[in-house]
Amino acid sequence: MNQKDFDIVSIIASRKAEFYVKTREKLLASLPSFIDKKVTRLRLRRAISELDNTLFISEQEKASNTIDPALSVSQLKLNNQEILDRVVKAMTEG
Amino acid sequence: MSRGSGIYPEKSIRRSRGLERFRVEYGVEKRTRRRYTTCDARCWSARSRPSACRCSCGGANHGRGYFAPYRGYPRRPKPPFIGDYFKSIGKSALTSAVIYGLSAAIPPFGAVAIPAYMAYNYSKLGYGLYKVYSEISAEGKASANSMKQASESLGDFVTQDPADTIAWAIVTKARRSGLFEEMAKNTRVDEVVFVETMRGSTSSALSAGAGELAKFAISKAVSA
Repeated sequence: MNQKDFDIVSIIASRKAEFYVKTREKLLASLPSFIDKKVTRLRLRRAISELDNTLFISEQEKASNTIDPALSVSQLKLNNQEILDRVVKAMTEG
Repeated sequence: MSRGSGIYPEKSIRRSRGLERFRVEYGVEKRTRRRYTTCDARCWSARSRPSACRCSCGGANHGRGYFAPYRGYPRRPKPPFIGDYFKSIGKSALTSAVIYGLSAAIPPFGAVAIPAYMAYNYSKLGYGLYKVYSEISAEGKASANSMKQASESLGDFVTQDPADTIAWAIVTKARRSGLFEEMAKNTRVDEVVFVETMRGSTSSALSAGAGELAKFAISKAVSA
């Protein structure tokens, strides 16, 4: 891996972090008191961080082979269903 | 005045005398109301009136339930395993949270700050990670082949993916150098979040092969 790869990895990691922050806020607010919030947070963080990098690159970016670091997750128009399925699977396993 | 009571006193007297005779004749003891010796869950969880209490408290704790003076009663329901919870009743909450996370709904502060920060600082972060990666490679710890050989020689003892091991090594070293601390300070998102997402992304990039991201160029037009 060269420096450019790490630049792109950094951008993707920051997209994942942004997605995690938003999801966590919504999820923790809706959890009942008997669910361990710390464990839920850890699981969610791991589930999102281990998602495939390509899921955080939009179709438009794939077509143009260009990544815009300034775009937020909501602007990317990602494959919501695929991401949802993978997060749910990771959260319910184990 | 007769000893009986009610509308037909003679009849009730006759009946009670008949019962007495029966008890004496057949040796049956007179039936009394059973009293529990100690006050316990039967009393505290009762739904009847306190006057119906038959234990040592004499009705003081009768039907008190949650307020019963007993340690550990009532027992709280055991918290379900988190995986089972999200598989069943919590699935809808998780789904809506993920959709919210991907949508353009009113974003929290962090969601705005991260892309803005990354637009100008991705190269700094990327360079820092690359530097760490080069150092680890020079030490002979980050070669994918060497990690694979090591894990194969150890057999089942090594369960971690080699790419994951290298990613951990890079991220741990980068964290020690304070690379994520600055990012966390500027985006107000916990440093651990960046450590974890960076590890996952690095691991994914390493396991998919170095060529996966090579075709992408980074947009120069920063629109943050």
